[in-house]
Amino acid sequence: MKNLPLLFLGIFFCLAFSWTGLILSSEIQYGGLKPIALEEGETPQPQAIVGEAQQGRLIYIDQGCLYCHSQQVRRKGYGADWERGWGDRQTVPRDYILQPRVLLGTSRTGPDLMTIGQRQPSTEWHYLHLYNPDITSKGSIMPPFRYLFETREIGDAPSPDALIFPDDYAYERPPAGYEIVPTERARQLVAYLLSLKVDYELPESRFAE
Amino acid sequence: MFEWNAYLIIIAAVAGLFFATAVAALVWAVKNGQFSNLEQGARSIFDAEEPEGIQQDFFPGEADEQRAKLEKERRPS
Amino acid sequence: MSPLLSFFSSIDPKARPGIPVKVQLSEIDESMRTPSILFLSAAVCWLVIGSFFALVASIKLHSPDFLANVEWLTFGRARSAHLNAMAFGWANNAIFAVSLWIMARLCKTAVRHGGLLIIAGIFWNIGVTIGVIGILTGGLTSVEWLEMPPQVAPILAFSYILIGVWGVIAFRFRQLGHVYVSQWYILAALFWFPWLYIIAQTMIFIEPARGTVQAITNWWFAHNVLGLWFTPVGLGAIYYFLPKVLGRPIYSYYLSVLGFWSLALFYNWAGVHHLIGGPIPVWLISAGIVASVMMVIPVIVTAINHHFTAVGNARATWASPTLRFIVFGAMSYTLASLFGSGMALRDVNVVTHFTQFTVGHAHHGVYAFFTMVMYGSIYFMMPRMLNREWPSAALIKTHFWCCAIGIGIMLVGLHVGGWIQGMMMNELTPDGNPKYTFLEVVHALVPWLFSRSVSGVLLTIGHIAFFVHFFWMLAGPKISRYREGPTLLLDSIRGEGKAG
Repeated sequence: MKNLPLLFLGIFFCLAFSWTGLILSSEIQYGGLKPIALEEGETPQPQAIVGEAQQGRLIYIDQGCLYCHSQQVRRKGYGADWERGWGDRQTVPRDYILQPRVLLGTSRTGPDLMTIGQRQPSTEWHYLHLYNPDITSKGSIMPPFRYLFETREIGDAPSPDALIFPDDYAYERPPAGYEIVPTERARQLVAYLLSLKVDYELPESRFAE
Repeated sequence: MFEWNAYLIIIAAVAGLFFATAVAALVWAVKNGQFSNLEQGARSIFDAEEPEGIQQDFFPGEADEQRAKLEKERRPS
Repeated sequence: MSPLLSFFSSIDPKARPGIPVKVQLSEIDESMRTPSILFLSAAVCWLVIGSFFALVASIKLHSPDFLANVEWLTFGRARSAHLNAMAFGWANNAIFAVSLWIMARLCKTAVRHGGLLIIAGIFWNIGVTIGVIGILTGGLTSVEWLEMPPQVAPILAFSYILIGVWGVIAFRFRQLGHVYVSQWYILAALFWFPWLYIIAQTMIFIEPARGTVQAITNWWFAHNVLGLWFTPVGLGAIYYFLPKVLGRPIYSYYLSVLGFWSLALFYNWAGVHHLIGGPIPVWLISAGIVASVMMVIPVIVTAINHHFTAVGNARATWASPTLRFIVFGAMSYTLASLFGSGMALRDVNVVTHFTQFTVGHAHHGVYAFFTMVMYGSIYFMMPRMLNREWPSAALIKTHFWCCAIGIGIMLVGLHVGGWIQGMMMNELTPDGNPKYTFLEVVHALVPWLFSRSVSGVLLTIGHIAFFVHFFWMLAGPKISRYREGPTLLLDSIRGEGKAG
């Protein structure tokens, strides 16, 4: 091969072929998916998340949660996703169509979060877990996100969101007269985590037995 | 939207077309002499400044010693 | 003639037929000196910066309280800063220096308008700096391999095009005659990277594709950065330096042609194997698996070729700093690629997917293969461009051993640890429940993560040795003791006359 245009053509062809085959064809095949109702009259699924949770997704993104937590459930029988209770059914392309940035993830240094809103519906649990993961998950290697909380003087009445530490973690307690409360970012992040649910069925993916 | 099978057919057709083009390009290239004289091509990296048959790189300060050892090793064969 | 017109005619080989007469290698080296040194200096600095972030991230993973309250160094950001500093800072700068230098030498043409290259290089590094700071301060995108805030993409794309085009210009100015296999690899890589980058930026950030098409684009890009950018440049460098240093031509030129086209054809389909089991159509995954397995062809072909070129030259290889690194890299390429093909099989992937095994595999390719080859190339280039010897054999050996042992420990640690992690994650009791809780799996993984930090310390020592040595060499000729020229062959010819 001594000919530049020819070499160039070959080089171009190889990349264009894979782009057409992988990306363009999947865009054509399912780029136009829409929410769908299982039966007439029901709400079409999936639904977009709104409000605080939407803001929380941005926190999830800029903190890099994705590098340890995936958001995908594989079919029953392939891996132990189903057995671990990470989801009642396999997730399919339609589950993701309303997410502006898809956060599938490729690492499970921490557990999958596709259905964390169903598995851990308690706000208090999430606040404690974010503040010091060891409190709720003994031996966890998740980084603590204390900087998403603030220590402040107790006002007229204690905040309902103030963290309550168990006795084993008394050292985390603030000085008397102070309380540790989630900042707006922590509230948004937790709202996002609680919004992560797969509690609906789709025609192409029903709950596994 | 297309049916599932239609996709397979389209993909198979594209893949077949691609394969045919590749084969055609290969045949053309061989006929055109693009692959001729390959062994000479392998030697095109050598020149008078960095000729074939001479090791080009040693640890600093060890060149003479290593070169002598290499010479000795190669001589019997 | 207007300045613009004369500029264009100066980069058009047809404008002055017959002018590019035979250029001496030493003249080419001379012409590449300033741009190459700039790229390499930046590369070496990024290498040390990247090592710092790597260590922080690695330590955090087994001791989460380490620097826990510094938001900009939280794990997700530190590891992304590490990846981007290494991939876009170290690796890309090294590629620019090495690939343009090899290209100029093989085309036997001196570089024209090196000044533009320097300006583009400065902008590239400004772009990467802004990007890494952006990651640390909240601009992290959480799109793997594209973590830098999308705002820096135009700077990077623009300066890349200014840099990459010099490779193409050099190719157009080549002396008639044969095109060597390294030129194919490098030329192809120079074309592939901007396409990949621009398409990925467009389809993920500018006009995001819907749903998981984004994920497919993401992995098409991320895997191809390795396969169509790092790998071809690494292989191009091996194909150049291995025969060059040994002074014997490559074993089979025919095999190298076959290896190139099979790599070009199969590698860019393989990226989907990062989504096996995921929410994308099954036929795409199957295509990715097939392509991954087909990669065995170029890998074996290349391995045979390298092996038979080097075989019987153990002493010669060991005596050359360049070849120590390059042969280490070439062997790692074979091993890493075969592992990669194996990991794409569904039965293996169900264990290794989502585990540290994948992380280990990434370092196998990018570090043990690509980075080691770049080290070797730099050890060859620097004395020839500066007409000056490396100051210290001991520092080269320190660099080599720290990196070789360091990456060895990391690979064993992450592969074994990752495998254990995957097996424990999937194992069920007879009545169909997970045998280990998630925290038990984490607990079993921690010692292996610790071994990675140990390897990180070793690698960092190696990188600092390299950093010191590199700038020591740049600092001045008076320090270098081996003026008589061990690695500088035929010093008498290259000689005193030009050195001034």
